[in-house]
Amino acid sequence: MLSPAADALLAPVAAIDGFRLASLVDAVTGMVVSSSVRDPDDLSLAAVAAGAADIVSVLTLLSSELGADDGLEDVMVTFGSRFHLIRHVRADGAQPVVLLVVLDRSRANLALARREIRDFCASIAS
Amino acid sequence: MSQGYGNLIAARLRRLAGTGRTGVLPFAGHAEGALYFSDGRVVFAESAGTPGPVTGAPPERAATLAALTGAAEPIADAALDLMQGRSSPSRFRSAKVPAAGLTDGFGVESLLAEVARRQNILEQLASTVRADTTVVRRPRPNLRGVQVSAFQWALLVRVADGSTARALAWDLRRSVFAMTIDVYRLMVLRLLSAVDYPVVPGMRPLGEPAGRSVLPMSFLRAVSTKNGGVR
Repeated sequence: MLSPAADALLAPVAAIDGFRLASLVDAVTGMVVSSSVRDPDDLSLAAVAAGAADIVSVLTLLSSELGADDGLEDVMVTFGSRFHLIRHVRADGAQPVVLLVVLDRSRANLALARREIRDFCASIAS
Repeated sequence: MSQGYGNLIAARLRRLAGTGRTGVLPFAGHAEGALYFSDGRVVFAESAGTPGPVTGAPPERAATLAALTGAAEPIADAALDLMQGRSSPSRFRSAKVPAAGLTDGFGVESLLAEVARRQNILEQLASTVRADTTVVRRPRPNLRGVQVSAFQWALLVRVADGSTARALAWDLRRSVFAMTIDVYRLMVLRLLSAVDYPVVPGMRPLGEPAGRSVLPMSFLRAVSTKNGGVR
């Protein structure tokens, strides 16, 4: 963590049902800007953050081939016990960032979580 | 950065962190600059080879995402430049630490891990582009569907004779590391190419034996211990 401000930034996301981990990653450099982890032994923050940045990078580079030229919004990855939600945040005048949220599948409501994440991203991009 | 030399610098930084020092560690050599410590944490860094932070940001943005990335990136960028093995630290001295916008800065271990991660990524890109590789725009008749960020457009507009990622970073007041990655991505999109650097991303370098492919850049590979990365 870089500062208390960075910690506080992710507090709304950490309140989502089933929350396990959230991380804001610089989409260009892959650097973790801020993170919040429920159980540090549960997941490798460095690996999941890097993986999320790679996914966004690949999909953005592929967008013309995919016929999706209006911008990547989010990616949902479903594992047996986890949801990984990845959202691309483009703030005006700022470096784009990727928000990764990992949720416990048995406790999370995917649709609600996606809406909360969308609203959170709108709040930090404005 | 050679392993032995990097270890010497890392050991010195750890000593400063362990003793909770406040002051400045100057670097001299190819890239001159300094790391600024406050209570053992790196709160600011500057290098003659990197542009540093954009000044004059409105204070109300201090808690926003832009302020966080804007404060952290120049520190990591300058530290990477200073620790590439072309400069050496000199005597640590007490000094007033510049206001960096963040009170905590990086812990030394976090900063060393971030520098190592970036070095791994630069090694991945080294056969394609480096910060000082000259690049030119490529004519691309069909741009339909190609997605580039606002920063990438700004970069493309400024590419001229002799442009390098480092020069463009100074021009746009952005991180040299970030600019190198954006240049690489624009090369992948065939919007830029490197002068006198025949390797195109995704293609085998000229003269390299068949069977050895150039893997695309991967952040995950840079932090995977299985592939020599750092966590």
